[in-house]
Amino acid sequence: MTDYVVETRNLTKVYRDFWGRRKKVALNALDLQIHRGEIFGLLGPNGSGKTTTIKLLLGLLFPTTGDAFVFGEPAAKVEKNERIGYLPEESYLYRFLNAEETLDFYGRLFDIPSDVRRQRAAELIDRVGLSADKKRILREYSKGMRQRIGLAQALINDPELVILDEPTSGLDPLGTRWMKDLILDLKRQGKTVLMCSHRLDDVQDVCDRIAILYGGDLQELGSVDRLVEDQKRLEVRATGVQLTEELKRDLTEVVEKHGGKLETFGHPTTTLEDLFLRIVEESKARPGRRFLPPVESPTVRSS
Amino acid sequence: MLTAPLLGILIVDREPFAPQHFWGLLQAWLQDAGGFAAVGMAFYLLYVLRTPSEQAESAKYRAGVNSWMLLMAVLAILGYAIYGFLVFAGKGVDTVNVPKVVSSVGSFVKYEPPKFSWSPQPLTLMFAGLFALLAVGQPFVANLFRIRVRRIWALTKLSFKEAVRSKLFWVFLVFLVPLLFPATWFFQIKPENQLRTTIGVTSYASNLLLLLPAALLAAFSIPNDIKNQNIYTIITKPVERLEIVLGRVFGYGILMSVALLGMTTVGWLFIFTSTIDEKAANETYMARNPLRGKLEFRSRRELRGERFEGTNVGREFDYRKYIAGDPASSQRAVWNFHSLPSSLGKSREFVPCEFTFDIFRMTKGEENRGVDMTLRFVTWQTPQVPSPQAGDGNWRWADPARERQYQDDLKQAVEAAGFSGQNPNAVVAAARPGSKAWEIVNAMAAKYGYYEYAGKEVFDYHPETIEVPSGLFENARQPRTGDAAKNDTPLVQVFVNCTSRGQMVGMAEDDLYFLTSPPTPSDWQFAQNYFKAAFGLWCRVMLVIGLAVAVSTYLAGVIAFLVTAALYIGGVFSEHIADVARGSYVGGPFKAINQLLEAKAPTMPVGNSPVERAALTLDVGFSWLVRRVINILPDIDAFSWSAFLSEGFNIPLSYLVMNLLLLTAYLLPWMILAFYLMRSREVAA
Repeated sequence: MTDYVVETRNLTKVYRDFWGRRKKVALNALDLQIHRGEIFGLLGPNGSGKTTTIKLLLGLLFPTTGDAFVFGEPAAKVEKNERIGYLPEESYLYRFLNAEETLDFYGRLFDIPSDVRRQRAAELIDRVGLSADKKRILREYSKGMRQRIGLAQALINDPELVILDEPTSGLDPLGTRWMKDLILDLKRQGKTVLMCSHRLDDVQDVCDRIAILYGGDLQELGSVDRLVEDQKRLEVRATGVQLTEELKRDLTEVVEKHGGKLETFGHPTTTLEDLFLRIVEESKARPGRRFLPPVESPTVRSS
Repeated sequence: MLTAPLLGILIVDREPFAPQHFWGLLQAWLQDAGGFAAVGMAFYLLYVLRTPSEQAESAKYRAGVNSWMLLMAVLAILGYAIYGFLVFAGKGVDTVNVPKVVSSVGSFVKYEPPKFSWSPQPLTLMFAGLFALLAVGQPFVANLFRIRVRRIWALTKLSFKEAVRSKLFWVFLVFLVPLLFPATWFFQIKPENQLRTTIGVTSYASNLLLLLPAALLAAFSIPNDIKNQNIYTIITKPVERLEIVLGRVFGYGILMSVALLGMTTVGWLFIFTSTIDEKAANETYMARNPLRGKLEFRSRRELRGERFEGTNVGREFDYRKYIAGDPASSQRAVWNFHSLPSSLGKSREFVPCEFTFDIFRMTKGEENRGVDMTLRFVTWQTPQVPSPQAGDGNWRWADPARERQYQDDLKQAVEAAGFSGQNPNAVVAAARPGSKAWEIVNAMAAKYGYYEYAGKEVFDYHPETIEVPSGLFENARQPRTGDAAKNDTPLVQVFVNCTSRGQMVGMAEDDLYFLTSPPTPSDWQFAQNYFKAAFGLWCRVMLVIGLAVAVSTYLAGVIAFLVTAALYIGGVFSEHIADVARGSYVGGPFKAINQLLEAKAPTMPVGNSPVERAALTLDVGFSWLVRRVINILPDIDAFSWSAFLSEGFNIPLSYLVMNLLLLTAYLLPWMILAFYLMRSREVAA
């Protein structure tokens, strides 16, 4: 249990109406493990259960059945939050505070001594590029600026686990690039990142492993490299040779026979977007759980 | 409790909570709060123990139960079972807090704080409640050890900044309006009521301007945080949910305290810098320290073994009882003082006795003239008895020989002092402190424990003062002997009667008192009292904030505000609701419905038909239900001191300490409830 930064066991969330009748199964028996130092992505269309999963891990929601553990502790335990940084989808910060006051406030909630708090706040404001605007109240910030200060508050405690809910939402391309670099930087610092996003290219660019959810069910789980492999097709890359029909019939033999050098031989990759759309289509056609978890060792892709 | 009528005079229709009431109040609190805790405990344990084996780790952590809780729950259940048995068997009934029997339907009953009772029933109920509170309060107390001052302070500052930056302080400037446009511009105000009016207006403005914003801010804070999802970024930090509640309470508390301090200072400065009419200063601009006694009404009837309880003249508010004005009337209002401060009368030659009576005129009387009253002060050494002869209104000394000795001694003393040829009683009557005759008065009072002031002209609702020789208190302080010690005879008694024919004089217990210091207008005393009175308002503001924050942990902002307002307003009228619950007026609602359906007058006695008996039984159930509701209502009147201030009475610090305890006692169960509600709340649901 303690090997994982995050672990869920049969985690289920059912929303009920006033009379206690089942209204919606938001998450159904999710089993998930996130390893230390990896960037893990949660993918899924709206209402698939990604944000519910995050909220359950953070104690904002309580599981109907099953369990969620963070750092080996029950998700309901407050102490675990000492080691977590959380950036919500919208930056739900107090808009009457300025950037400095915001970080000071959240720093106090972590009981960080004042000198450390001040120093860390100054560094983070600089890191997210808001030094020039640190005295302006957040009400005057653009959405991108609020997202930046939101990220800064998520990092004020130098967390081991950073949970990002749609981190690139509302950011322009430059901002998106900046955010992705920052996430990769967090990984380099040894932090674990759990993010969910609609932006598939973002996920593909930064995540080591992903879980795809649909209708509250886990549909796919694995490393990005493996998942985007197209197991039904074969790709041969060669130089110094023309690709002829003859070559197609007997690739290796023909390449060597024609004096060429085989550079790669394997499965071609599709885009994550294609994979995602295919899973969603299949899930619509055949509702229910699709993924059966294999015994998998941690796979960390080098960036 | 303490209200000032239009004409001014302190009405104390319930005794303020003082330190001597602490144990009785604590017992009552344990019984009441413990009862609610027991209900909560039952629900909680049922929920937790329902399916323990199927509960997940997170659920167990969130709503756990430990051996302490179970042990306390078992003890509480045992306690309630014993109590139930005692009630069923009719044993161990509370003999101390027995409801007063009212002489007639709707008549005034002075509220008295509960007293500690050692009877088995209240004692068992108290311990059962205590165990229930210990069971329910354990997770709350355990959580208190996890809270951090720095985090609460951060949330406190946040609440304060939020309110300040939303420009709430501008609202408080409205307070200046009544000061800029004084009431004297619009109304004809009697000179002696100048300060009373100012205090009344500023008190009303402060109440409105503090309580309403406090309730609004506090009721909407947590629901708004949840609605705007700001709370996500707080809950996901290592913040105990109780810290969020406390941070809000303290934040708004500090904000309102600053506003209250500002308003109080401005109000006081306004009075301090105004020209105060002398009459108003003499009545209000001071802080009297009264020594109060117990009032009883007596007359010749007691010689026949009957009691005289004062006359009801038909006023709607029968707070006062009346005695008939006539020299031939033996009716007396008698104040009994069972204890005296050791310093009373020492180092001074007199002790002021102040009184304010209501004159109910049966005849028009003389224009601009009051009624004549006689006040007789006696100690335990000089008991008085009514004359057995009809038509003789005088009360005599129980020991006629001693009375004769007094008259002889007085005559000698008057002659020795150079007043020869004058009536000794006239010399005494004309004596005033500082004079030679007063020395005789003092010496005679010290020797015999007797002093009479006859022919005092008294006006309707006007405080009057007479000087009582300090020698009387010397006499009273001598150790009681014989029957006086055995019967706990009062140390000092004040017999009051009216000699103006055709007039009735109304009196209540708090209408007459000795003053431990002379009633002199004083800037410093008034200022102290002014700020002490503000403490009562502070308690009410904190009560509203605590209550609103507590209910808002579960309810939406608007609903939380309405619930807070309903509880507060209910608290203002709690005594009336209690009267309804007791059926002090015309019985309960079911009886009333039945009377209506049968077209009977509401005051008609109930018959013995099955329907009428059923209605009465249902009313008993209704009464029980209302009594439970009353326990939820805050005791708003207990925090009201503006009448003390406007009537120029000192507000003792001990009363304010009791206010603080009362506030804590009321809010503590709400905070425990808020703790459970917040802990079980899915803020993102």
